[in-house]
Amino acid sequence: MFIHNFKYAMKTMLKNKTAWLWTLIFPLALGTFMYMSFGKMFENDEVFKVIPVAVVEESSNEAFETMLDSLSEEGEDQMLKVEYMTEDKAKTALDNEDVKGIIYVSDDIKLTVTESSYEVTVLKVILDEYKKREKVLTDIAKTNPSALAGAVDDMMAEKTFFTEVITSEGNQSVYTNYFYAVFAMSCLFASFGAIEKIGNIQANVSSLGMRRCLSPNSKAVTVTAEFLSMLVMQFTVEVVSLIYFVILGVDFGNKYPQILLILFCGSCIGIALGVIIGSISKMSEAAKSGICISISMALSVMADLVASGIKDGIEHTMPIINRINPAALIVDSFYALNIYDTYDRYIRNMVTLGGMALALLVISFLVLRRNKYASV
Amino acid sequence: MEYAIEVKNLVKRYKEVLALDHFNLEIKEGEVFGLLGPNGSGKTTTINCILSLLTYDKGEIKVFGRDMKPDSYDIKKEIGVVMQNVAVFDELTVYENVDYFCGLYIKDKETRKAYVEEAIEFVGLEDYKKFLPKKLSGGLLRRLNIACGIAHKPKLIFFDEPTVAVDPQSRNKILEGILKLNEQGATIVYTSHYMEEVEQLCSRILIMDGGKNVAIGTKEELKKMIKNTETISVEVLGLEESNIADLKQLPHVYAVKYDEKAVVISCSGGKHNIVRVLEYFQKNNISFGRVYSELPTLNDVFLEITGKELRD
Ligand SMILES: Nc1ncnc2c1ncn2[C@@H]1O[C@H](COP(=O)(O)OP(=O)(O)OP(=O)(O)O)[C@@H](O)[C@H]1O
Ligand SMILES: [Mg+2]
Repeated sequence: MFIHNFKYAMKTMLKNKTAWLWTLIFPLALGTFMYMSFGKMFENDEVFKVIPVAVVEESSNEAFETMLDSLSEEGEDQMLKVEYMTEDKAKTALDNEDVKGIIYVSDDIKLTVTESSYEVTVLKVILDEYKKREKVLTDIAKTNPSALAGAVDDMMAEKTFFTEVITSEGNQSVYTNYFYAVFAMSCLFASFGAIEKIGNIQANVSSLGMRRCLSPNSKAVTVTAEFLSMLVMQFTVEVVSLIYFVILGVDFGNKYPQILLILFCGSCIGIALGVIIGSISKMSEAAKSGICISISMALSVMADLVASGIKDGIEHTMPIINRINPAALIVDSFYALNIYDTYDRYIRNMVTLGGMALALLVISFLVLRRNKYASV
Repeated sequence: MEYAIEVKNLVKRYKEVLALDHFNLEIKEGEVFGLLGPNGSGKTTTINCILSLLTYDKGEIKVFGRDMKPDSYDIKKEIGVVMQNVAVFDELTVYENVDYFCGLYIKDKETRKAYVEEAIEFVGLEDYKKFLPKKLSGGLLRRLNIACGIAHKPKLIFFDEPTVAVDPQSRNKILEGILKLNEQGATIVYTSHYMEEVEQLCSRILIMDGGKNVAIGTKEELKKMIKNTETISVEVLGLEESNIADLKQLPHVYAVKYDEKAVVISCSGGKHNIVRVLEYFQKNNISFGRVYSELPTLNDVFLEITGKELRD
C-alpha cells in the first residue's frame, strides 16, 4: 500500500511540471544571479593574483618604499609587481592596462587608477593601511633606518593587516555565503509545495481528500508517502543546485557527504513546515500559502539572508532564535563545516534541524490522523 | 433479511443548521434505493454520516450489520462512493486515476489491472485512457469519477447526484450502468432531486425534506399514499368562475386550478374522468386546445405531503 501511494505521489509530482520546474529554477536562477553579480569580483585566482603597479618616485620615501619592496617580494605572499617609471611612461602603461594603478611617491602618497575593480580596491586598502601606520614607520626610518625592514615585516606579519581588511571588502568566503543563503531559502520555500499535497489528503479540504478518507487505509501511510515523495524531489533539487554551483566555481570545501546531510535536513525542515501549515484545516489554500511566504521570509530575514545585521541584533537580545531558526541553522552548518576542525557545532545544528522536522511531522500527523470531521 | 444499512434516530447539526432530524433509514442488500429530496434536504449529509466522514450528534449507524466507524476498514473495503463533486487527480490520466483509487482497495496487481480495465470499459472511456481529466468533457469527467468509485467492485455503492449537469447521452449511460452494477449484486444508494431518474431506477424510494423522512416505499406505494390519481390539463381561454365551480362538481374531481390559459383538474379515483371533463366543455360550447392526462408523479407525492414543489 505504501509503495502504491508513494509511486503515485511521485507521479503526480513529476507530472506537475510547472510546480517542480519553479522549485528547481528558484535556486538555479538565484545562484546564477549571484554568480553574475559577484562571481568575477571574487574569483579565486584574481584575489591572489599579483597586481602590477607603476610607481612614480617624485621624492624618496624610505618607509613606503620598504613596504613596497616587502609586498613585491617574490613568493607566495607577493601582492604587487612594482615597476618604477617616469610619469609619462606610467600613464601610457595605465592606459594600456599594463598596470592597474600609478602610485606617486613623495612625502604624500597618491594613487591614480582608471576603473574600479577588485585590484583597485586592494591598492586602496594597502595605501590606507600604510597611512594609518605612516607616522610610526617614518619615525623609525628617521631614527633607526636599519630597523625599518624589520618593522615593515612585523606589520605585514600582523595577521589582520591585509587579510582582514580585504576580507571585509569581500572574498571567496563572503561570496560562498550567498550560496549558503540560496540553499537555505530554497529549502524553506519547499513548504509551498506541501500545502496542496496535504490539502489533498484532508476530507474537509478537498474532494480528493474525501475520497482517500473513504478508502480502507491508515492516514499514516498516505502522509508518509506524500512526505517522502516531496523529500526526494526537494533533495534532488538541492543536489542539482549544488552541482551547478560547483560548476560555476563556487568553493564549498570538500566535505561533500556532510554538505549533503545539511541539504537533506534542510529539505526535511522546509517540507515539514509546509506540512504543518497545510494541516491547519480551517483555512483556505491561499491563506496557507500566505502564511508560508511570511514565515519563510521572516526566517530568512532574521537569519540575515536578505540584509545583514539583524541576526547580530537577535544574537544579543534573543539568541535562542538563532539556535532554532532553520534558515540560520542551515547557513551556520555550512560555516561550521568550513571553519571549525571539530564537528560539535555542525552536529548540534543537524540534530536541531532533524529534531524540529520530526517534531513538526509528528504534530501534523496527529492533526491529520483523524478521519471524521464536524463538517466536510 | 440482511440489511446493508441501518440508520436509527440520526441527528446532525452544522452549528445552527439542523441538517438531519431524527432520521431513520433501512436499506436491504440488493436494493436500488433512492434518496429523493430538494436541495439542502440532507441527502449528502446522510451519506457522509453513514460513511463515517462526519461526526453526528445522536443516533446509530450500522453497515452490513456492524457498527460503522472511521477505522472500520473491513467495511470500507466493501463500499464504493461516487461523490457529488468530481474527485480526481488533474495530473494523472484516466487510466492512472482509476488505477490509483482501485489500488487503495485491491493489492494484487493482476486483479487490479483487470478491474481497472473493466471499470473503464464499464463507463465507456476506453478511447480516453491516456487523456488527462482537463481534456474530458463534463459528462466524460463524471464517468471517470464513477469509474474511480466503483473499480474495486464494492458490495455497496453510493451515488450522490451523479447526473447533475450531464448531457442526456452520458446520463442514460450512467443510469444503465447503475442498473448493471445492481444486477451484478451490488446494493445501490442513489440520491437525486430528479424524480424521473429515481422513478426509473429505484426499487424503493425515500423522500426526505428538511432532514426528515417524509415518505418511504416503492414508487407505486408512494403514489397510493396520496389521493391524487390523475391530473387533467386542458388549454382553454376565458373560463368563467361558474365554469370552474361546475368542473369542481364533477365526480372524483377534488381540485381545479385555472390560470387564464389552461385549467388543471385533479382527480382522485374513477375511470373516465377525462371523458366527463371534455363532455362538459362540448355541452357548454367552450372550445379548447390541447388536452393532457397525467398519472401522479413523485412530485405530486412530495407536493401533497409537504405542501411544496420538489423541484424549484
Ligand atoms: N459544511 C456545512 N456547513 C454548514 N451547513 C451545511 C454544510 N453542509 C451542508 N450544510 C447544510 O445542511 C443541510 C443539508 O445539506 P446537504 O448537503 O446534506 O443537502 P443535499 O440534500 O445533499 O442537497 P443538494 O441536493 O444540494 O446536494 C443544508 O441546509 C445545508 O445548507
Ligand atoms: Mg448533496
